[in-house]
Amino acid sequence: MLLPAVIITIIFRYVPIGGLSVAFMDYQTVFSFFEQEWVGWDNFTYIFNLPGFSNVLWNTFFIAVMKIIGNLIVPVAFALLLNEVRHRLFKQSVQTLLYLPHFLSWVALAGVLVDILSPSSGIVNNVLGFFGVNPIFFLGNPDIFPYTLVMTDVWKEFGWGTIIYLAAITTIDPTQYEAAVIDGAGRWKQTLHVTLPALAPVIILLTVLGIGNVLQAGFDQVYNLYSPQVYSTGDIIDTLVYRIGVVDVQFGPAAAIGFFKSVVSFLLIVTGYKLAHRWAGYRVF
Amino acid sequence: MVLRKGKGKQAALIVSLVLIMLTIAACGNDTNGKEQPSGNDSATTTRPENDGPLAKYEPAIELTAMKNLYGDERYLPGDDLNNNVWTRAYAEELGIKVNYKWAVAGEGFQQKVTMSIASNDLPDIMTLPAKDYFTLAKAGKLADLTPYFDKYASDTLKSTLNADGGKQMKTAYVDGKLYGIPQTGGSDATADMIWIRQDWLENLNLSVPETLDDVIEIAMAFRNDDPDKNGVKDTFGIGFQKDLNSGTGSYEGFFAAYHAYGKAWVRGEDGKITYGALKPGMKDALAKLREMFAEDLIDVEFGVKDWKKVGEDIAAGKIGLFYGREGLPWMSAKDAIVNNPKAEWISVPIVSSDGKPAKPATNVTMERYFAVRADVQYPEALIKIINLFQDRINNPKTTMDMLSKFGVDPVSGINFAAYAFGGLDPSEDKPNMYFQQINAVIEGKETVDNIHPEAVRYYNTIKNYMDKGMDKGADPLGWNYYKFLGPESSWKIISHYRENNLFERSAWFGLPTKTMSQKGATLDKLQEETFIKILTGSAPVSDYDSFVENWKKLGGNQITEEVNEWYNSTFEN
Amino acid sequence: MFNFIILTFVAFLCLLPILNLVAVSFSSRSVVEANQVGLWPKGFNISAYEFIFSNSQFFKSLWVTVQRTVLGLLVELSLTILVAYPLSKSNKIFRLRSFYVWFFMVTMVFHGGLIPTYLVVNELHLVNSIWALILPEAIVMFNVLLMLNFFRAIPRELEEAALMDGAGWFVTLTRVYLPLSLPSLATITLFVLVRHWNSWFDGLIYMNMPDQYPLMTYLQTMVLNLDLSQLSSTMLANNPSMLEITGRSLRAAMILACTLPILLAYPFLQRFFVKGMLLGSVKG
Repeated sequence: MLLPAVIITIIFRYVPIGGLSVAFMDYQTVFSFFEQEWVGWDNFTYIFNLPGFSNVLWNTFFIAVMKIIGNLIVPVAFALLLNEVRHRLFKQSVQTLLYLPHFLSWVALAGVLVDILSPSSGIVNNVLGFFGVNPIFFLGNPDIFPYTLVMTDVWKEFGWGTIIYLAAITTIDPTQYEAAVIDGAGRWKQTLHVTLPALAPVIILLTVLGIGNVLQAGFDQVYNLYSPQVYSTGDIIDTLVYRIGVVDVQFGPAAAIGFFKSVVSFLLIVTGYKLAHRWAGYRVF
Repeated sequence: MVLRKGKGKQAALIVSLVLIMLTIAACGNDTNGKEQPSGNDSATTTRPENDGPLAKYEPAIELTAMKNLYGDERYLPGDDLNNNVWTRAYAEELGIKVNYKWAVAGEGFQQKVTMSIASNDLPDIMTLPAKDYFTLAKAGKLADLTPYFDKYASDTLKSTLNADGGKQMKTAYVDGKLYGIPQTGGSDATADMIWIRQDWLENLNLSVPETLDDVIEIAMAFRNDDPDKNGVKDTFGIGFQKDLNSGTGSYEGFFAAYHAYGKAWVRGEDGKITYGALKPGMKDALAKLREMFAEDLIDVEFGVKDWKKVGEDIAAGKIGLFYGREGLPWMSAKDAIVNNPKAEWISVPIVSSDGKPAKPATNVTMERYFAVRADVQYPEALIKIINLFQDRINNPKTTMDMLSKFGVDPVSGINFAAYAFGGLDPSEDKPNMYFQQINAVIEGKETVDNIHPEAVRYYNTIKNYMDKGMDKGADPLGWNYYKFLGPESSWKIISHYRENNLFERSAWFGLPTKTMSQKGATLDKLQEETFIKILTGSAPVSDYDSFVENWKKLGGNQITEEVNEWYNSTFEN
Repeated sequence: MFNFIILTFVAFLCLLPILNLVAVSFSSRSVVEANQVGLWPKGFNISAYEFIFSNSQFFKSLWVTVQRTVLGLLVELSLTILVAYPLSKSNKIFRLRSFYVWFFMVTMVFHGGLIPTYLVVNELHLVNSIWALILPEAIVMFNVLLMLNFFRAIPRELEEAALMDGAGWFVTLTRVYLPLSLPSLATITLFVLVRHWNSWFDGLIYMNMPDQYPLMTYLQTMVLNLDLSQLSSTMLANNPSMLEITGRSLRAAMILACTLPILLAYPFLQRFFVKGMLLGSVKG
């Protein structure tokens, strides 16, 4: 059964993986792979010694971790909320509406967000002002900016995230609910004791995979929303690397950064896998 | 990894399979230097006897090519990229069959070029991004055009390339040899001017600014005195954008009032090139901007608005004063008058903070070069192809019919010029000439018959607009051309700059230097952060001094050296 | 009730930008450029849509996208099932399970990079072929892991019963597992459809001519790329009809025209989410 997949994976994924060696080369496209100059760890030291790199690394980590958490919790919460809806048409319409923002690109959203998050005329601040909150400069205040990123990202992706959980909920054996009702469990108890445990494997899986993303803060979003005012908290590895022009022309450093991120990601996924195995006695995959 | 006994063989098999595949792939790559037929392989073809700029090959030769599209290409029925008015002309008139191997628009262009180079799959004639042009030339992958250029380049091509005194052309030389033709273009259009809502000035009885103090006074009035007379304080004093790039809401024109520049490299009288942001006036310029921000003349949210967002405020009638380029009659200024027919714009030259005239910065970007692969049999074919474009489009003797056939088709609106290979503009802006000719005709010093056919087209629109009493509603495009090339136009401001020798042409326009590509982004970040903090008042003006120190220390000094070196080696021999 | 209010409110929040996009796409240029269109069109007109549909490239690209999406779905869904099923077994039943899991996991995290992948595709002479858009990403480990977890949720007794009856692994998969997995199959289908529909970068790299581009590549390179910053005013003066294609309304219309078909996928697939539940109750 595995053979076709194994062959395709070897050809299209393992053969090119040799390209990771670019991270240790001064790669020039004009020469073939065997004529490249090996530079050892130079590309890595170049990247790590960029002024302000540690600040950028921290920003990346901070934004990514908050996004991981938000994108785990919010979709579960909404899946549970949706699961409680009995009216089918309403439920399906809401599901569809929730996942719409996923399809919009950050380029298209950036202009809209500048408007609705504006401290002087934005609708969000108007509403907050109604509750006596002073105007917040969501996109221009470096103390707020990372949270703005997280909130807008969660808003964009949570509907998409609920799909998995909704699918998982449908696999729950209805007799379990019946049994719970017989035991006198109310709706809330049913959710707590039947639905959530049934979702646990998927939640654990997504958590383990999610922690692999601690260095993925979302280039497209940040690039389209940030400005010099918020560099101090909003500049991430990917945007920095982009501005250096690494992506287009400096292949060695670009590969080095990719390699670094992959290794971190892999180590964290392995760790998560082991922890889940030890604590839950359960192999995530 | 948990491997159980006995089944370990299968795993070992997979691992060895991976290794084998890797080796095969490696060898594959090694022999990848495919010797393709170099296109023009017809052995019977010889160079034409009276060979020259537009001489025809018999029988025809074939060349593969690549194309950088502008996007949303449209064709006449039956045409496509490999069969259109240009490819037919190449075949019929030059005996060259051009076959595009690939074509792409936008940023994908760089990606496709990279892939072509990496897979050693270059077409015969190429459009190359600057960096790849130099890399390929140094690696010996490009044909040396030095022996062909003088013989084959037509007079029109030579004058197109030399319109700026050959400055852009000189960048194409690598170790004294010419490997490609640069895609030249004018730079006057990058100069800033001041755009003002004329109707607002009239509402408030103000006159056009002549000094920076005037500009600030107007900004004050535009902010506080309800210039649009709608009874609401909903207008900004002056529009600025978040970035230091020039364009709508630019800073360059403002900085120039203090003889400093945000991004330009300025060549002093001693021949030394320095970075414009280090000029002594910059500190005062920033202090002034800070003052203006504190006095609420600038949108408090300018720090998150790019030029497009600033454009929205202009189109919505919230901004009536800003620094911008000549193209505004085609952009947000135009939208402002469509949205409010009472609106009117005027452009004026930038002003100075002291008695010394302010000089707007201009810059050139050498983005692309046209080149030939080293093993192509007739490298001069590239020059011939480029000649044909010059002959049809830029030739002073070209006719309206010719322009409609090879340029913009007035019926379908398709711009055929975009399908030509190696179409390049003169290194001096064409609108300069159009402006002179059109206004000479308007003033009665010249007749329509003697001016360029394209200028005739614009002249007719402008004349028509003026004859009908300049009614913006009746002739929507008439206003555009009038404000663009007419008697009160943006190109009038540029011709004023030209006549008074007011351009500060950024002295550096080569490839990013070594230190620039390594440290440039860091330095830009430092500059942008410092500037915006000073402007918004979150850092003292004195931070500018430490910025200068840090900029120099973090690689700026080295970059300055490299820039001077580049300039000297490119132009001083 | 609380539930109802929250969901309605949040659903509305998610709908707003789309409504804005629709309104912009039907509005006249200058009103849009002044950012004065909210949720209702101003200066109603359909010129943006006329412009899009007047270019035959739109339909060519749509066809390429449909092809790649359908083919891609077939290939990817089969491979995902074929990989997920054996991997969902315990290490006792499938001894090399862990090896294979990590064999695939590595590819989820480590990528050789664009150039090496392109070189492989190029060596296989797949450049310019629809397969270049399908094969390199034919196994998405994330989907495999999801599927694997869904398979595990199916009671093992059913499988044991089938095996007892003498059915092979393959028959067990098709007769027992797949019919019980409609919701999860629908989920994976949705993911695959959306990914294929939305990917544009591979089209850009592997297709040589714009008329072979999938829809999203066309959208990215031909429309989103075009804006005033790219066009010199000289070009505009020369060819004022270019003004049309720089407007935000055209872009909004283009985004909608390209996205709408795939937005319909979810409402369509939703029926399987419910059916699966019913099936579950019957079997359970």
